[in-house]
Amino acid sequence: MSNKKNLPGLALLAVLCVVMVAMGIWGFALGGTVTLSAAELAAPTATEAPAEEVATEEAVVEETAEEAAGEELAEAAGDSGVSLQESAIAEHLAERSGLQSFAYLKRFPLLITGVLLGVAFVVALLISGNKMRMPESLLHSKLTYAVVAELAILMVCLWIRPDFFSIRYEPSSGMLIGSLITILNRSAEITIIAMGMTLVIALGGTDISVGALVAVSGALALKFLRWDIDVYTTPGDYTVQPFIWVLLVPLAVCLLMGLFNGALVAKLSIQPIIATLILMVAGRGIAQIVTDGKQYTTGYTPFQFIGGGSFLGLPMPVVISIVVVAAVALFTRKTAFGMFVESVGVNRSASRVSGLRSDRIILIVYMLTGFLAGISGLIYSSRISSCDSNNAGLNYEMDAILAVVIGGTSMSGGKFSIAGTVIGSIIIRTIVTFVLYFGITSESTMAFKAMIIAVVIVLQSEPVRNWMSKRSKARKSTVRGEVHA
Amino acid sequence: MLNTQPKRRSLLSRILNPKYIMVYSTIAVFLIIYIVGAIAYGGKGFTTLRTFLLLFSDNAYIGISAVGMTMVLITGGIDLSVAAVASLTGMFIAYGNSILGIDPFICIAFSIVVGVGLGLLMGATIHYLNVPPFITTLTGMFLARGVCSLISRESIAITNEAIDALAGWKITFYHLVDGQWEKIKPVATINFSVLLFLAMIVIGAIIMQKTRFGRNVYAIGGNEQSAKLMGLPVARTKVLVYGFNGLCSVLAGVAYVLYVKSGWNLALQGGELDVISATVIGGTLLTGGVGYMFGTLFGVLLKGTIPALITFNGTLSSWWGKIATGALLLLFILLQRAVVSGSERKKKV
Amino acid sequence: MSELLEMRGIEIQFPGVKALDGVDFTLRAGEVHALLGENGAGKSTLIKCLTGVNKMDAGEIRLEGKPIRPTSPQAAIEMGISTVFQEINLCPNLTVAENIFVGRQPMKHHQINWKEINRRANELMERFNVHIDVTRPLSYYSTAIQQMVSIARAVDIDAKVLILDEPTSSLDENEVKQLFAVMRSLKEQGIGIIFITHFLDQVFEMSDRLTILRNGHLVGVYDIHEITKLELVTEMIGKDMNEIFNLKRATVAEDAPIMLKAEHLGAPGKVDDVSLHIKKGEMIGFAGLLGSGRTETAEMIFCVARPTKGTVEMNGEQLKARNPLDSINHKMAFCPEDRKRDGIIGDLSIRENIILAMQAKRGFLHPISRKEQGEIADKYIKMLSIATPDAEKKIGELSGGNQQKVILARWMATQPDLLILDEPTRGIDVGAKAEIQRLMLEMCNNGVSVIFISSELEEVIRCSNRILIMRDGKKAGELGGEFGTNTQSEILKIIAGEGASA
Repeated sequence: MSNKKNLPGLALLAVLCVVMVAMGIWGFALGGTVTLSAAELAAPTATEAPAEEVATEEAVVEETAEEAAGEELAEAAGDSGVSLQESAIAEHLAERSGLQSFAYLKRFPLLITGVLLGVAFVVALLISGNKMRMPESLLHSKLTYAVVAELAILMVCLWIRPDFFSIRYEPSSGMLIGSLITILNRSAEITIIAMGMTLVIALGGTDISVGALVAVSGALALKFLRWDIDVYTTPGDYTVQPFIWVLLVPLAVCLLMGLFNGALVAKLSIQPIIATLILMVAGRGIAQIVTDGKQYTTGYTPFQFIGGGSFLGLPMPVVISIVVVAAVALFTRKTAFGMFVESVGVNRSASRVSGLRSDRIILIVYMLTGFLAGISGLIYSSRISSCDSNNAGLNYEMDAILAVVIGGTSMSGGKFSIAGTVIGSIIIRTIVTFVLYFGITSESTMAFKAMIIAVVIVLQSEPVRNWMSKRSKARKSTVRGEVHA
Repeated sequence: MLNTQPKRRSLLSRILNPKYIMVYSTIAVFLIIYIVGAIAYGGKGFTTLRTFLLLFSDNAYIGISAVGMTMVLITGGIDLSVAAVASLTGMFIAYGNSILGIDPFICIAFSIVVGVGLGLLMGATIHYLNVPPFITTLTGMFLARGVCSLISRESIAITNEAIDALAGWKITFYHLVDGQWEKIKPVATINFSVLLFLAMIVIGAIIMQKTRFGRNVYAIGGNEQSAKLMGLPVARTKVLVYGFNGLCSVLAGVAYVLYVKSGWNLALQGGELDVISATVIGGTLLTGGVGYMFGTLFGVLLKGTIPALITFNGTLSSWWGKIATGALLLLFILLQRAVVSGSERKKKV
Repeated sequence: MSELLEMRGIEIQFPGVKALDGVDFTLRAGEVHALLGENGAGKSTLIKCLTGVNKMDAGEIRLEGKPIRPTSPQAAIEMGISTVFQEINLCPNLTVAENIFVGRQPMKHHQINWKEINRRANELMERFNVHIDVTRPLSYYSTAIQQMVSIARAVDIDAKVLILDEPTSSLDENEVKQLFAVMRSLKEQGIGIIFITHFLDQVFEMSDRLTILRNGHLVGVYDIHEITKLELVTEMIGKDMNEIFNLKRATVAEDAPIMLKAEHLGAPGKVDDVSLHIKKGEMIGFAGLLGSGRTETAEMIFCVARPTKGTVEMNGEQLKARNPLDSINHKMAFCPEDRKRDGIIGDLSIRENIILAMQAKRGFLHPISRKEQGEIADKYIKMLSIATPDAEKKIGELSGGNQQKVILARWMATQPDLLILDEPTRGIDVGAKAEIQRLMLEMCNNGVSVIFISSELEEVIRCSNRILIMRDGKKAGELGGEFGTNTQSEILKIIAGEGASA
């Protein structure tokens, strides 16, 4: 209750703040004088964010068209294809101007560092749940580890690229540009899916069909945009069916698929992993049937706006994910739904005795997850202006589950943390960005992802946390003993 | 009353033991689908020995991996890393042989060490650190896939005489025509992968049925708490099961290499799903405790029959296979559910 | 006769409560020793201590004169102490034969010798006079047979001490006879058997000596011939210690309206045709031993378990939907017996646990504001003097008594007309007990009807206006009006099956 009790937690954050600010100053000081070494120049980097952003989008469109031709290539598409282009362009840009990228460095790094730390601080405060018992809950909270991990990765990024935190406004596209924005932008799909996944996991389940639902949603959207591909042979700025269908039908279908999952889990008491395995397997087949196995592409601008447009300077995916996160947070925390979900997740029998209708709650959660996967699918297919039944949403279920678990929600159900999941999702994307800095391709980022996640998971695992809290308790009691003596 | 149960130990009663019911349904569905295929496409050669043997050779790598997966699922766990480890094996062999010029068998040995090591590590994490198997093996999958891509992002072809010889080696079936041994037409063969697949099924069955280790696996899947109270070595068994599964994944990778003769970092993407669905269709319960290698064999065949049928049909697109697999999964899961709740009801009365 | 097993001065401390306080226990070779006491008396704690599940804080255990300290069930088994738990600890997916031999299968040529396993298992089951196909999975057979299988496994491992924890609770008469025959033959082999049961007839039929525990204390050790059934029940249930609180029974007006009317409730194997009615502001006590159907009746009224026949009317309105939420909407409330399983939501805070039922009644779209939640929680924390620094503490971290108070608060917050309390005072300390009793009576005086179920007869008599006595799933009697000094013995007679139905 007293401020003294807060000290350890505050001290921890204060130290982090100081380190971060020092990093920022260091970057600032170096900004004017540093010359990039040849090795760094050669390495494919994601320095010039603006060009990269725009160029990537274009590149993807071209690329998907190419892919449609070669089947072998198609399988390698998706994330990997994007990164191929990313690195090539970055290489080109790095050659063109090594130093220019530091020009805007002077304007923002300290400010951004400060803002980021402030946000991290507030988030940590909020998530530790009970403001009153900060130090204990901070030390015991899984989320603390997630935040610290994220900050650590960001710090290393900053160390490698002093201009990491810079953000600038690009008037021509009306968008904010910078690595941080890119991270947010690219993590949007996972963040949105992970919102639903958080609730599913809080119920003690898992939904592994979301990746397939992303493919279904994208396929349906493109189907409605192009409908009869023999008549509308070339992609262009048109839609065959009304745009509202393009948006609503995929979402409705995904909602129904979520209902199917939920019904198997709630009504037939089938293990969630198995129940959702069915759609995970069948979903991509359904997506392919919708588009007849073809990769439709489109040039319809309102649709492209979903993935590539911007609003108030922020990329649309970021805006959508903010809206979704806010909506889910409001829905779960401003109604009693979140508490009901946690209650059913912890003890279904006691919840029933207390008058909760657990079946209905489970159904709603799985339907919501399906729906959110649908939104994610629209964003994904809009980004690539195409649909890709094989690779759309590939491994998204894995990433989403990881995001939730890293965010501190236990796989066995119970208390969940929306903010934690958001941070988890951002961590996953930050790792990818971070590894790109080393000039490593994006498929191999998986290895680094795995290693960092392994560390986080081991730190969060029950025995390790028990051991650590026991140690800290032991230390406390010895200190107290000394005082008494 | 305790002695209302008639004492039946006849052969028939042993065969009709309710514990085999899932295996029988798998076999029944396989037969039905096979017969349907025979009636529809018998004229196109669906019923030939060659087509039947192709079911084995096309699915050998899935089958080999399914042996380990069956064991993991029986303990009540899951392993998502199998396809990635198999793909990693392919990379090791391809890169080691084609780029570094190492003998492929040394590469295989190295892969086995890595695969089994990763399996043991994951098993230990699952048991001692209490991390859910799903998350642990997912991390393992990311790690293996990532290392694949670190090695190479291009597909590497394997041109090695030993590998070629191994891949090309096959048993051809002959029959006696007019006192002369002649090859059966169309030529039906059994290659090394198929032998490996069948051998693994037999080895798996022996481990599960004839050793204490295997029975402990079943006991853990039935009720881990009880197994502990009965004094069974739960920790050792669980860790070893994941290790064995690692071995199976590596062997599956070898079979796959023999099948495609190249290593590619994205090979077998989503393959873990094929393996898991084949195992579940084969009657292994994902909740643990129930499953037979024999069932897994038919699960693999049943799953392999669907693409074969689609090929024979000629007009259907291949993605119907995924939907059919999903439908089969649904069918078997509902069946399992019915069997479980049926036996529960019987017990209560 | 020599002492096979000796336990001296056993003490076990659980957070907030002393589970065992200086308990002695001895077992001779070749005897059946019954361990008796109501729930929470400390029987299972004593057994868990002997099998190495719980660590003892003080005391010593000697087996055949040598001091032992089992650290795990496995260690205990190796020392010769085998336990058959009430819940069956076997693997339902393995065959009967395998369950007996798993982990120590006979081998032949490095292979499991299935023939030998099946033969020996068959022999063993034959010896128990159980004729079944041992090659079928365990789950294929009834609980009775599963119970026999676990005994067979326990015995086949060279056991010196066999602990049977409620082995007969799921057996019918014939099965019990068979079990007893097995127990007698084991006795002749010189095995000492610790027999825990709630069926007093069985105690008198089987055991040679008995030890009675109450509230973690040793009440006495008797030879079976020294004690009558009535004395035994009296000893088990005991006198309540907190008469000092001088509680006054609620007064019910003659013309008070009938609140709840349940008729002909029944479900096979649980309860057979129970009818009752409760007036506004009345408290009805359910008396009877465990398994007599008192809990089952309560669960059917609240519809946690759906009755197969019978009707429930609340405030003159018949309940239709028949799920707990429907009951809550008809202003019923139910504190379940198993607090851990059906009561607390361990990971949620006290505040959330308190408002849960109230929120369920309102539906999640009409949330109680955070501020209001805090106020409600604080109000009940104060009213029920729940010992906690604040309302945000996890309920799982509280002591049993405080958890019970939180559950009580959960239901009080819904402002029920009928409150069903199943063992609300079990396993909590004396002070909290008295407080809960006081609260119940206060609610009665405010016009709430209460159904009060307790194993402690004294408190039932003290608080209730009427007492319904259950035996074997049936209503065995009902007492009303003024309770005198001999009420307790009257009830005990009915429970023991000696008295006439009133």
